[in-house]
Amino acid sequence: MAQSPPRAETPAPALRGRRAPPAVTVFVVVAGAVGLGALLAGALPISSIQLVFLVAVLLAAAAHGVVAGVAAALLASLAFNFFFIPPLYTFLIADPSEVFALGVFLVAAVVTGSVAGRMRQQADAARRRAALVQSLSDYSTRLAGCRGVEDALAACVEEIARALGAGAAALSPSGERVLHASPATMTLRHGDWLAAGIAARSGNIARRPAEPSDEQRCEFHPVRAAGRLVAVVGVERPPSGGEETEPALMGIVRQTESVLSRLAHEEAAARARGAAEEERLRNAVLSSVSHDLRTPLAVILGAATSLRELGPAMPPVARDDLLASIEDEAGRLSRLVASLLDMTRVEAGALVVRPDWVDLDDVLRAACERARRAHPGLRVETERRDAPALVRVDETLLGQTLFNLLDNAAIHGGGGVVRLRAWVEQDALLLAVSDDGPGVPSSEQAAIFEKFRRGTRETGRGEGTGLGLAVARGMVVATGGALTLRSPVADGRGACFEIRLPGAAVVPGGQE
Amino acid sequence: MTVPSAPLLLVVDDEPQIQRFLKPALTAAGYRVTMAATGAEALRLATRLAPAAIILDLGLPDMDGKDVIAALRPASDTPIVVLSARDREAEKIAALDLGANDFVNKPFGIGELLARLRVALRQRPGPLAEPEKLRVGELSLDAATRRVTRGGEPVHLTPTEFDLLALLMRHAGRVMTHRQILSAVWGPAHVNDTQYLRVFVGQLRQKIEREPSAPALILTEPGVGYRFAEDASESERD
Repeated sequence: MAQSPPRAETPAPALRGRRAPPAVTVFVVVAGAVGLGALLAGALPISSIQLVFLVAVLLAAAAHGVVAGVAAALLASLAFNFFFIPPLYTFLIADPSEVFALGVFLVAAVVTGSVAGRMRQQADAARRRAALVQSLSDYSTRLAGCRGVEDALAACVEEIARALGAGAAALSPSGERVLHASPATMTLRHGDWLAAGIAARSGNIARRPAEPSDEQRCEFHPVRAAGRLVAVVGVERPPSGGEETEPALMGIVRQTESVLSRLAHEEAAARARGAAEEERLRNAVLSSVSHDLRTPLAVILGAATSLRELGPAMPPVARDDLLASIEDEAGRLSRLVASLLDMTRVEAGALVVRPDWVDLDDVLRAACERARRAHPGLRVETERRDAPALVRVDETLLGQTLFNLLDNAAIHGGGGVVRLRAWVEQDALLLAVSDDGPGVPSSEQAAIFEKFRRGTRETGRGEGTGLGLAVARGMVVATGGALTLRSPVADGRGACFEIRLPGAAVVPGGQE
Repeated sequence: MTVPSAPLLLVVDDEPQIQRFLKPALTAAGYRVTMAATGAEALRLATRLAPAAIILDLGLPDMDGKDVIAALRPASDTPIVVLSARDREAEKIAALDLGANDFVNKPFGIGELLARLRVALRQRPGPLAEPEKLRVGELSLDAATRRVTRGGEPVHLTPTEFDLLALLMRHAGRVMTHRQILSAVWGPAHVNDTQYLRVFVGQLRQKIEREPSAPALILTEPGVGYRFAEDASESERD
């Protein structure tokens, strides 16, 4: 029986529960017409009772369509003949004129039934289309929220499964791996995998074969985004009769494709932005290094050639200053080259960490002396609270780290006293270098350990190398520790760099 | 030593270390020196003091050095010598095409800077009446008769070769960008046809250089252009 296909009605499942099967309806309305006709038989002529039957046919057709209408018309004719045309309770007809009347009634009932039924079917189709549009629109809302390809493919197969009431699965673009299936228990047969591979390679839909096969239950649709195959979607289809669901399926696949294309374009744009940002950073680093190397070289070469070629024409004070500038710039250059080498070693992962028992006071003193040599007039207060005299650290790396932090404090610390403290928390050695300078704005704290990040405060360009803190963090991390910044420290001022070295403060001879 | 009539130089560089050595060196070389650390200050001083020449670093904190040149030209013909990094050809070419007279690669010896300054200052009056006879070393060129001799021996040049050589010799000691040369010799439509230039410079070198493979007269400024050697005897006289 070609009743309206249940699958197509799934978008409006509420209607299904309300409606009785067509055969029941046909039987009930005709029975009702018989009953009503029996009640009216005494009062009305038989032609009026025929109208009651006509109404019954109309009702059946309106409820269930053409087939039900025609069926009701035939049944109504038989029932009318049986119950109301003499001789009663037989299908015989005594009066030949009654045969004609019944024939007219039959024709009228069939025409009425089929017209009313067609209207019913058109209304159903309109409702189905509206439901399809609604479900596609709901789906597009859901897709719009998808953040990635995986997300969108999962939404796609779930939507297909819901709208078609069939299993669906998204496969990798090679058609060899299931990315997402709905229901999750859905399995693919041998023939399914072959068909998926065909769809993946050809880029065309791989339908089920005409003759039903148990080895292939799905058909496979290629899903493209931005001109590239991104997945193959498999849908369980009945061997025949899936045509009604085709628009819904195609709508879902096309919509998924358009969203995937958008995602692909967004991703490409984000990649391009990332690459441009990286390129910009690389250029900034390169120009920073070349500027920092070139300026001292320009001064050294310029001052030296000036002394050679013009020295005799210069007053002694000018000659002395040129010599001093050569010394200063050579020192700056040497520090920069050392920092660059340190940075290279840190970045190449070439740091060899050799922890050993060392006298903490020695390390602190050496770092302070080096910092005072680099910054004459720098005041450093050292405080070793309860830290043990002997700690297990890499002396060279820790010394360099402390120097870099002191150097940074001397340049950016506002010129006040710099405090260097050491203490212990459990088995960790903690060292802090703090100043009471202007501090580091919170917006800059995240980036302060990056290469070539200089303080915004203009302290004479080229004073810092922009490498010290990056090197310091790299060295601390290489020894298994952490370097953090806290700023402001008090009254909105100051910066405190804290080194934490776990395991460095274990007492020698203890259970190491 | 510095005398009141000595030419005034405006040095524009934001690096205090560079100013620290340039000032005594240029003073000792017989110039008066004024410093500017920003482009805005440079423009102000250039208008107010009318310096004899400007030494301009292209990397300034407040504006691009090229914009300083663009702001000065064409109203002022004060010679401008640009300081720039060796690997920044595009920047140098742009500066020269904007009207800078010459450039010096950082780092530089003071002698090189003084030589560029000398050439820039000498050319200042401009070729109002183009000299009929040009002479660099043993090479002479007579613009009126279009004749070239090397050590008294005539050198046969095609008309284009002659024009090219005359242009370079007229600007001896000063860099000319490819664009400037192409525009002057071949016309503005050919400013990008550097292959012409390479071919003709090669031919010219064959004819006028003592050692064409190690040119001493037509010098290449890599990535920028060509510079005709300054007449050593003439520069000694300055």
